[in-house]
Amino acid sequence: MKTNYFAVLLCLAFLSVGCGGSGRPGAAPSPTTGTPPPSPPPGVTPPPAVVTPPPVVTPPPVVTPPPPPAAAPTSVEASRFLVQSTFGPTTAEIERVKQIGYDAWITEQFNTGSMDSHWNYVAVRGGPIGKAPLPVLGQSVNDIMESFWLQSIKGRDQLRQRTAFALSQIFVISMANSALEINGDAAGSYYDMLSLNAFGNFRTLLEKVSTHPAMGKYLSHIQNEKENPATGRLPDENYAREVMQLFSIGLWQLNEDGSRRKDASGKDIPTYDRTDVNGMAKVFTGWGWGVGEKTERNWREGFLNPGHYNAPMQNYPQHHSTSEKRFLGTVIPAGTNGETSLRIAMDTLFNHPNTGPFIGRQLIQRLVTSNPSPAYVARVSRAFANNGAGVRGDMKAVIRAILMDPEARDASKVNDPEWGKLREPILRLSAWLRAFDAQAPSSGEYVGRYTIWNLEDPLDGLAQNPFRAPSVFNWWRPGYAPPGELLRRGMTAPEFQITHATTVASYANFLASVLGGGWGHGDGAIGPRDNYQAERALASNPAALLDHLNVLLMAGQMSASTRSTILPAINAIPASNPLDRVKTAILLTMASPDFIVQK
Amino acid sequence: MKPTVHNASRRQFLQRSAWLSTAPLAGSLLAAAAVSAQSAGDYKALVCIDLGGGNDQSNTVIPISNSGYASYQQGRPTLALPRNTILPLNPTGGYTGDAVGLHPSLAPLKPLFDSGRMALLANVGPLVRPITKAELNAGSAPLPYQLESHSDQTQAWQSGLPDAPSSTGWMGRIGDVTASAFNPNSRVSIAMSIAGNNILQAGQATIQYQLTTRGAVKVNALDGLFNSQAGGTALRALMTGARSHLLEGELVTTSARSLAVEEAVSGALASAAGNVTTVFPNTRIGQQLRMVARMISVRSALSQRRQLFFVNQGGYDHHDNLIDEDNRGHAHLLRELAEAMAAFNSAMNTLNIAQSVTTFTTSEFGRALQHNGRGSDHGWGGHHFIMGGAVLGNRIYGTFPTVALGGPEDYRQGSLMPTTSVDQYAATLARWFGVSATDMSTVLPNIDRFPNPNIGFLG
Repeated sequence: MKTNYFAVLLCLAFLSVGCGGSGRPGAAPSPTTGTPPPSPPPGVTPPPAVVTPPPVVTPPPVVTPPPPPAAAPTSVEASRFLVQSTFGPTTAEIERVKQIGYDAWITEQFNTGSMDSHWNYVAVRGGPIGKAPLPVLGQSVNDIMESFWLQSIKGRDQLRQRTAFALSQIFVISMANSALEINGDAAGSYYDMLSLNAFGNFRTLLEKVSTHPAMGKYLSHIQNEKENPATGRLPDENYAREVMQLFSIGLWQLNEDGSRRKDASGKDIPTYDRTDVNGMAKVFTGWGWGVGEKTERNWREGFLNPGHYNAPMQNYPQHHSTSEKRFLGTVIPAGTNGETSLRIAMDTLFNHPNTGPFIGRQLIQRLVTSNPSPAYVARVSRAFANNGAGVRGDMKAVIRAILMDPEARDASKVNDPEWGKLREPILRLSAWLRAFDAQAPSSGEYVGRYTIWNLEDPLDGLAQNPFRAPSVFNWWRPGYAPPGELLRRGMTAPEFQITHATTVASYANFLASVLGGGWGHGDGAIGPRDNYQAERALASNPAALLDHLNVLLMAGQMSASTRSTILPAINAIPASNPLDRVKTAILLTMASPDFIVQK
Repeated sequence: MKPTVHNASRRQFLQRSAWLSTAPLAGSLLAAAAVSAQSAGDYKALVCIDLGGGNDQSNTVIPISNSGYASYQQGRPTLALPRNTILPLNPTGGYTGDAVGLHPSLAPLKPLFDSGRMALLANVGPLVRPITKAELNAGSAPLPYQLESHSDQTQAWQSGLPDAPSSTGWMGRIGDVTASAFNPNSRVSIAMSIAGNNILQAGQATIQYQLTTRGAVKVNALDGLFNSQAGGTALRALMTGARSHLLEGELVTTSARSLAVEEAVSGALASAAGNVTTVFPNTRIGQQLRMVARMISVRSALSQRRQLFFVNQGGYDHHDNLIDEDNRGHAHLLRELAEAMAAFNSAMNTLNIAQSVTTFTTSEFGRALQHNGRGSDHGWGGHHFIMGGAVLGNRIYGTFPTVALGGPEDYRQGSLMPTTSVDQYAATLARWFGVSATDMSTVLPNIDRFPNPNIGFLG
């Protein structure tokens, strides 16, 4: 991998959430919670990259009670829901939610496929569908950014895209100072995998993550050699540790509601120790490039085979440790092969009582609120444990439980001073891109390309760029809180880890650039469709303009003081200059704390 | 230093501290007033360079005696540096440990070590209290929370409280007990980071200030927005106006702080003094240290007689690439580090301030001696460098460990049970910086658990 700790890892005391289960975790993975669909064994040559994900056949789970038979959502309610479930509300999507309701909208989204595959964009075509690649080699790093923004803001599968983005912040790979630095193709294939499995089963997702060559490269378990007592060589422990600490069970045993379990003396209980890491590390030996036969040449140089970053890693038996593997109370007997060992390891992590609350709480934080109540976490944990049809790990049930939870839908939460989350910078930009139907150039060299390549300038950037988290610990830890009032109250506010004296200022400068001339590379700048036509039509009536932006951008959460601050600034611009009125109104709305903090 | 209470600063300190009335450290914070203000020329700075990811100490400082090198090589045959490439050190000060040398990439630092400008602290790491190998073997040694976890060991190093929750770090607490006495009129925090938010500089009263490698960030639109002054005025009001929602409140507090000091910082950096002429490498760590040098150079304009800096170099998690020569390899990172530190040392000489600036390294853990073929796994104790004019250098402090699998300090796979604690390391720095003996337990609550709060590397 190469964790780059460029933004310092702050794990203040409350870092990982609680613990759960009974006794030693994993001691006896209970089969009573239902068996997930079997994962395809690693080593099978993957199907060619698909453009449209296969529709998932299982019927909608019924773990959450259907929404109250209340009236259809209002525009404000629909917008609030879409802030949580998409890359940003649009007028059309608000209307759709109002028309069919939350639950049906979720179901509709579950059955909506992706518009493209990132792998195809980056590695096959080198550009958008039907457009020529740029006449320059080595564009994959830019291509993946374009493809990310294209699908994130234009994809009809908004819930899938938003969920994939959330998952990408749990199962982190990064091109920043890593072995993937120039591998936009690897990042693309990896993100496709997250999108395709976002509504599948967590057990499958965890295995797909663990066997993806981009992850193998990032956390260094690709080509990881078995132990060799003669030379004292041990397996690389990198992935073994992080798959437990970050991707499944976390450091501390948790209760169903995300709180930490305590031992008899009131102390937190670790989920694993170094011997578990030793045992788990052996599981992740022998995994190598997945294209071609399991020859020594392919073990060493499988990266020379075309498509190597789009095929799951396969196990090369001669490099896999077949000694006994012990971890988390599970014993894999000596002589067990790589595929079987992986299956047992994945089952152990999947069935661990921590996994539901550990993953569920983080997904709530990514979508809805930084400080969910324990009861909210518990409800999501139960959906993870059982989708209502006896299946554990059904991501549809988890996502639906998160979004349909009474706490998430309770409109009065808007007035709760601890509720909500800081909108991360990428989602602030995407809100603008979607609300105003931003368009890539319709002609010229960058036709069809969302050339949002670089968001990292310290003076007017966002301090967050897709696929470029500083380390496997993401841009922030789920338990981060800035020193001060929030920390004293025991609250968490992860996104504040990249929010400080310079980034609050660079965001304001970023807004000025975006509203000034759009964002993007040179002639490829991305701007609003028809130059804010709908908004310009309201410019002569600043109050109506603000009402419109309030619903579209911030779910009706504009405070009276924000409104009374922005109105005079709009009125100060002559009505004869509607465009400047519109830009001023949008910029100030997006600079307001009530927009930046979604409730 | 002999404390004399400075009335003005004490008044200001008490005002600043009023909101802390319920904070557990408030009582001891009051003792901060005992820290004296000194003569006008009195100035000191601490610069922390954090090596993120866990620097491999075994390939940073290497035994070179016949037996020492042999056991080192035996522990990591695929990772051992060729003996003839290692840069031998000749430490003075009664060093009795094994003969050792530096990774060849650290060549730019060797003259600093040899000339007494740099010291080495061997095998330091987070400890709950002094422990023995026998206790470790018996499982009776109290251990820091979650050894070998990047995030938790960063927390342990930076908080100085390895077995307790903490919302503050020891550099932040140094700020708590020194800022009002030394920087009573400064609008800029005593604690400055060029590397983002960190726990190290979080104090009860001290709030770290963030800079980029290009300085403070000015919000240009405050001067006017789309041809309208009113737009700029509204923007300022939105960024700074009070909020009742807690997350919004935290955001505007941060923004208000940013706007309040930006002009002072940018103005100082734009002055002649802000133009440090020393050439720094165009690397992230080089440019961060250049910004530190510039902030030191403008200390008078900022009314700062004490400064605490944090910079960071990432990428040290060498599970693989440990001996590769590419730009992720250990050799590359150490070279960037050494070149940046050497440039910083030159800049301090040029500014004639070297005696007053002490630079030191940290890293969340060292690494195992045993190898995985391509790299090494997470460990515990590591070796660290201290550089500056006040350093009693060309010496190795602490106890250099036996570099061998199964050695007396072997915790696991040749990772090191530390023999010096972070508390002792930090206390030595804090004492030099001006923290009084009575304040030391505020800065480092566990310091009394350890025998020697002054390791002696600073005069």
